[in-house]
Amino acid sequence: MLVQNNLPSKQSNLRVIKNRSFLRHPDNKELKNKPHSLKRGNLSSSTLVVSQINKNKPFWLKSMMVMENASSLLCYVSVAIALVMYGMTVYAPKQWTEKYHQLQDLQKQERQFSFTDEIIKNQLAESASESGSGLVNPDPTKPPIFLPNITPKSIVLKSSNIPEPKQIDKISPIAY
Amino acid sequence: MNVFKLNSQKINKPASSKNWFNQLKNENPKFTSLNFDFLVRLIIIWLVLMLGATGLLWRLYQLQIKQGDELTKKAKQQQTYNFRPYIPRRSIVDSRGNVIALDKVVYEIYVHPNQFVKTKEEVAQMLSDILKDRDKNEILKLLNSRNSGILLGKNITEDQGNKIKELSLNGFDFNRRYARFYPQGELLADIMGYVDTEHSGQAGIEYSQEKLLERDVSSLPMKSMLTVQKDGQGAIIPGSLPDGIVKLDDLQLKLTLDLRLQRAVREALKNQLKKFNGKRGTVIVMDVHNGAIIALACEPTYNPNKYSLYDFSLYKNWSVTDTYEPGSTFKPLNVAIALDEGVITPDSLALDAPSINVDGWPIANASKTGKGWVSITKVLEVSSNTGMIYIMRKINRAKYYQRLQELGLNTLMGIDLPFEATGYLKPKEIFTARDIEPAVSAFGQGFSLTPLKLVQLHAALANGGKLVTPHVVEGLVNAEGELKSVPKLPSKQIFSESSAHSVVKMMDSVVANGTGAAAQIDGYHIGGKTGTAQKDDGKGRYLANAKFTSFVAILPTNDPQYVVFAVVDEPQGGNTFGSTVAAPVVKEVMNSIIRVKGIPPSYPIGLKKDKKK
Repeated sequence: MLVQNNLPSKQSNLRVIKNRSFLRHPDNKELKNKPHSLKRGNLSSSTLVVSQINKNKPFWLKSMMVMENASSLLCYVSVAIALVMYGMTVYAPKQWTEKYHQLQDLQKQERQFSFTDEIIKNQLAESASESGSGLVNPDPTKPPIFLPNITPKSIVLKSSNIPEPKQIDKISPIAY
Repeated sequence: MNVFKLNSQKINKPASSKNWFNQLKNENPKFTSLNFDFLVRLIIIWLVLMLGATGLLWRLYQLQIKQGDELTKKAKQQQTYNFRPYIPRRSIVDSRGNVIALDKVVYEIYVHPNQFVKTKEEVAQMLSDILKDRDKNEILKLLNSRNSGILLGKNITEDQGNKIKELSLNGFDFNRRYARFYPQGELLADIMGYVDTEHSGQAGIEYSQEKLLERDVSSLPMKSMLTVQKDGQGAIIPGSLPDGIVKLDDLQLKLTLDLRLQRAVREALKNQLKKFNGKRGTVIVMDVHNGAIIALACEPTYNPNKYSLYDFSLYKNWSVTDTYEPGSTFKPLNVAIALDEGVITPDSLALDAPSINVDGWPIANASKTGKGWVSITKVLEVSSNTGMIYIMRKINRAKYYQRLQELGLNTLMGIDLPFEATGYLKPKEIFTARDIEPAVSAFGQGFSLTPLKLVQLHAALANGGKLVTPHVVEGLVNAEGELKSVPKLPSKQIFSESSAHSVVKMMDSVVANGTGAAAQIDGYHIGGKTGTAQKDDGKGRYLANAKFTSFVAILPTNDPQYVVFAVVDEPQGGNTFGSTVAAPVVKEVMNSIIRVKGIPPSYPIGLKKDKKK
């Protein structure tokens, strides 16, 4: 375990060094050479270690590591979901109440519209039947005009017999 | 690897590590005092924490155990909310979508002056500003009458109620409820009925169609009050609400009635009833093909918005609940039976005597004259009683009785209006015992039926012999006007098609050349039959001066679409017959139907009607 714990720090140290050297040497040539040599020296040994350890890791360890990663991921996700859900439980009733008030308002408007609409229609009909309204019942001796119910024939266009205009061949001027 | 080295170094120098400890001890001479300080601090911190914990425990004990019950009650009060969902009765619309009954919200407001913060004068001023129809002094007088529990108003409109609420005065109790409103007032009262203060239907379709008008969620506990939970900020937690409580469907109950026609029908009936000082009257317009009632009016009637001001006997629709003896309007139906039974043909002759003697009873024609041997059509044209007896005698009594039963005279029609009455047909033994019973039945007396039943039977003549179920409910429609559920309406054949057609032709002749001339309309072939029947006094005798005058018409006979029927009970005056009292009403209604429904003329208007038809 100890070995394993040390390994990443070593690798990160390496990376730091590499970065520092990068900063220190703006010159391209330096940059190319120095870290390279540095890397080569330490890396060779460390990769060896890593590869060896990776190889040596028993299966149970590997699977437990996978499980650890998976469970922590699951943990983060579930915490996030829990937070969202909590937020929703706070937000939803507020939203619902707001919308419910809106619905009540709309229902009230609907009631009043249909109410007023019918009242006005009824008043119109009643005032029309009163004498002196200027409106009279249609004269029974003159019933409405009824048009015979004829389904119109669809007009079929005659195929035109006019021949298509002849194409006049272009006469290119010929010089004689 | 070097880690191991470190360990090995430690192992190699066990003494030095010991030394380090010793050195540390020696290097720090104030160790004991520091240790003491440390200990004191530790104890103080421990004490603080312990005291804190004890305090918390004490408070917990106080809150949970000592005041637990009280606080739970308080919390529950804060968290629950009495929720009154909006569940109105379904609206009712006519065949063209006009709303004819709807729910509105009203407030019942109680005032408790002993809780007022402001003076009574101030409150009265505020109230009179909102309730425009009330005087300030009147309200003040009301407020001075008692200390609490004063009813300010039972039907204060939603707007006014909300305005009073917004004043947020102390000492006001608001009881929100629904009130049914009929915008057309008394126009449709006989069909609609009314709802009482408990919001349940008491007459008309409000009573009979309660199931369709009430929504699924409007059970009693839901309608009264619901206890729901609120969160800390006072917002309702929707999860605590029952399913579908705020999700109302948009269905409305659609009727077959036509408001325009209904207006014309009521107007015509009202005027005629006034003219003849009749006791009561009814007019029915029915679609012959499906039994849909297009218009139905009874007079006198009531205003369902103020039903409590009227006599309760007006609440019933007497065209469905009361029976009468139809008289001559039944003759065409008898002719159809005779044609069906094959005892006559449309070209047969019948003997029209001035009077005859049946079982010792003298039976005469209304005209006291007879025309001798005449056609069946002529018998109907002059409405001959003796001629009808001559025809109906040819049928075996038992067979005739069976046919009358098959017409459904003494069974229910199954109409969707409430309190339907069945007609009365004498028991078979009495009917078949002597000749007099079938003889009086031949001209429509000795049995009774409801006005609507007669319309149903004439519709059967008009539509080729089918007995259709009369109805006013078309079904439930959604906001787009699509029918979502329709009632089941059975129908059965009661006359053969040819007999029905022949009788309609004869009825056409009654209007063209006979007693129904008052219903002629230029351009239209109209079939009709008058009826003037004696009234029973309830003790088996006929009253001397009381009669039912009626007229039934089929429009138009070349393509029957509507049956129009009018009956006026006890018209006063000398010249009161079906032809003079009821026929003009039917004519006026038919003129309206022609315009409203757009029925094209049967022949060019202005030309004399060809009598061959």
